[in-house]
Amino acid sequence: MSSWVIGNQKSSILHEGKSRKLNAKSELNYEALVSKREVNNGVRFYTDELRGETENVEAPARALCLKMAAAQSCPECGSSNIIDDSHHSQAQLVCVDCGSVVSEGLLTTTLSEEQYHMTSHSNQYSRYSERSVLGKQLYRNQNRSESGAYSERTDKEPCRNQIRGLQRVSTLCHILRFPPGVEDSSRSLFERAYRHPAFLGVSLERKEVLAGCCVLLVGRQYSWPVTMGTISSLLQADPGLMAGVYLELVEKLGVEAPPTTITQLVRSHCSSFQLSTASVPDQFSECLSKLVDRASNLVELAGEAWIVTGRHPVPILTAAVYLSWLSLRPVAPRLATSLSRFCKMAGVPLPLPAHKRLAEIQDALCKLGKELPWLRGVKLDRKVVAKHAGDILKHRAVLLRRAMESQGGEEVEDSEQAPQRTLGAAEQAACVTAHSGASLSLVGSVTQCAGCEDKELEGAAAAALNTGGNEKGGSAQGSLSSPAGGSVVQCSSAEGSVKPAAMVPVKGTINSAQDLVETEGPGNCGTLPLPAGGKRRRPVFLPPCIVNPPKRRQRDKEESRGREVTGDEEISDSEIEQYIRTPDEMRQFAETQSRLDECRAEVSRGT
Amino acid sequence: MEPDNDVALDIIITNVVCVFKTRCHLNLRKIALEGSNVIYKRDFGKVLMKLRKPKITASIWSSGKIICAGATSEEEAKLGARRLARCLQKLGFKVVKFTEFKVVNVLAVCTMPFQIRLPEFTKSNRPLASYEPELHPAALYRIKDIKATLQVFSTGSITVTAPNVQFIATAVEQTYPLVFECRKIHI
Repeated sequence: MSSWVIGNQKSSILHEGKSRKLNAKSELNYEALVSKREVNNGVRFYTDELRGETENVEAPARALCLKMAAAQSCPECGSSNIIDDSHHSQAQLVCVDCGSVVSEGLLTTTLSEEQYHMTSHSNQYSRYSERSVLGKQLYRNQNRSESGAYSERTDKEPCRNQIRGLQRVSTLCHILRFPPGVEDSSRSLFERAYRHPAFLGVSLERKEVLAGCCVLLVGRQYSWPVTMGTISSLLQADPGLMAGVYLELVEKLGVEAPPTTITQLVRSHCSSFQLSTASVPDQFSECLSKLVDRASNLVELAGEAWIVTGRHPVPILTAAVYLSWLSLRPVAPRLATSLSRFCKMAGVPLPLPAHKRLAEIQDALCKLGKELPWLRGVKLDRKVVAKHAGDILKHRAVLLRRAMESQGGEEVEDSEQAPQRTLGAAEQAACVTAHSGASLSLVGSVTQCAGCEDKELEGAAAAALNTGGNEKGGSAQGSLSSPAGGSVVQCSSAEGSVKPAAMVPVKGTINSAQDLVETEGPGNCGTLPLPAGGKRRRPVFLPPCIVNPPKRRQRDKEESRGREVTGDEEISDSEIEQYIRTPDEMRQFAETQSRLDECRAEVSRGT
Repeated sequence: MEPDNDVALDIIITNVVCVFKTRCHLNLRKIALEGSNVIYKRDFGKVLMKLRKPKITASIWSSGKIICAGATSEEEAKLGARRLARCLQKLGFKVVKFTEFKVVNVLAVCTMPFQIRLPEFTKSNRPLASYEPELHPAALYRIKDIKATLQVFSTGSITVTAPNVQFIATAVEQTYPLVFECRKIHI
């Protein structure tokens, strides 16, 4: 899964292709790395924060020395005038009156010093670096409680990785321009997730990604337009890993977050295109607000035309922005600019599926554009449709209704012809989609609502069989009568094993997909009432995989036919012998294997 | 309820996965040498054996545990597993037994006669349903009590995974009213 970025957030942390992970070493060098154009307050604020934090580490240690100096008295002369002095960066407590060293080495910096001071009981004020691994280990061995806990403190200090994670969360929030309330929620969610048992013993990589997932989750809760691809790009993380951590986070913490809708992403995606007069020539520049409006309308149309559902949003947005840009001023230079050239000019990466999405949106516009009165008779194709996109989008509701009436309506045949056509379509469906000889058919009872029209129930039966069928096979409309009572289906037989229904009597037994076609098709058509008026409405837009079904391998008809199998049949030796090699074959196989091994050994020796 | 208004939904079982144990150690090298239609995966420590009738693929471990996949019904899976055990006996492992047979997973496909609006379906069925278009085009719906997982596609196609065939039917029965409410109504 590739990741695409909304907006220019990626460039604010990367510098012209150089990628740096958010770690402690590189964080301090951001100012040097970020280019002049991309420095923003968020990044500067972060680096200042980090600098301030490192300076504050030494302050508590210094305060400790001063405190101890005040409490002690000189063992030589008894004077209490003891000052803190450092000798070659080693902190010492020195008596002013007699000059003797009261104590030294309170703050250790080397491993051996830590070990000495921890094990010796002479200096009770000896401290150790709480954040060092050895310090923790030494502390662990000495101060383990009866219950086995290393510390019974409830207000434990956060570990290094947690602090880094929190800093990472803050950085991401600044880059994404989150308001302070959202940032606080992100930090608290990260703390909660970090301490959850599911994320305690995981790898560092997962913990890094966890920070991004928390930011994403909170952004969605506050309806902030941010995508998973953006955050995985900012973190330089594997998108698959990010997806796994995100889903685990949602599941373990039980946090709900509505997915970001594509309409929310339109504005942020449009703003990433550099189409101002300063960046591009006048004939190519465009106002952001107009671009956003036109792109929003196109995205809505794409949603109606089944282009958006189940697809990644970024390629659709890129295609919509490009079409909007073309249609707002359809001059010759713009119309001659291809999608890839447009993205290069605007400084935005081009996702690969964007070309397909563009073609689908253009086809949808062509379908509606044919209904415009002033375009009747005009040949409307993908190249020309951008000029009329504005008019089409303005009147799309009316055009959709007209398209339904003119392109979608067709008279249905009488009941004798319908089964044959349905059978034909269903056979095609069986060839296209039949995977096995076993099929489980559920026959349900659908109660009819008062006032509901039985429009496409015949089509419903055909569509139930026409899983990969084409448009002409027909697809049932949504105007099926609703099951006012709930229970719809009952289990029927599969390959001879009958599972009797509990509520509704089973309607027919099914042995195979092909047999099903032959028995169910006509039967259903015979029982289902024809829609009133004899007209079947076909939708203008259908999901692309229904319009262009993928080619599936046609299985052998004998295999697809269901056989009565119980699982306890006798197994004859002749069936098994085909799976056992003869002695000659074994000898030949062994010889070939040895020769292959020798050749491989020679090749490896040669290399 | 009127019988004339019945709508048939086809659930096509595409895969049945089962396991069984032979209760004896198996020499994988011998199986690879003497068996045909066999692939020896030395790195993974297993042997893949494919049968033609029924069309199944078996993963055989030296401990005697065998996983069979590719059958299209539970009975076919059992028959295929028994054939495999018989094949191992013929290969020279006389003490092979057919024990602890269990169907662990069934995959089926069902198509609704209408398109489904996935965002609406997800919204009305949280938290059991989740839909991430950036990750997968289908909405994922889990039914905990029968351990069934359904992938609901916008085209109306639903892929169901459950421990057995009965649960598959139950899962579709429970899901139908939910997806029916979120069907796409064409004006």
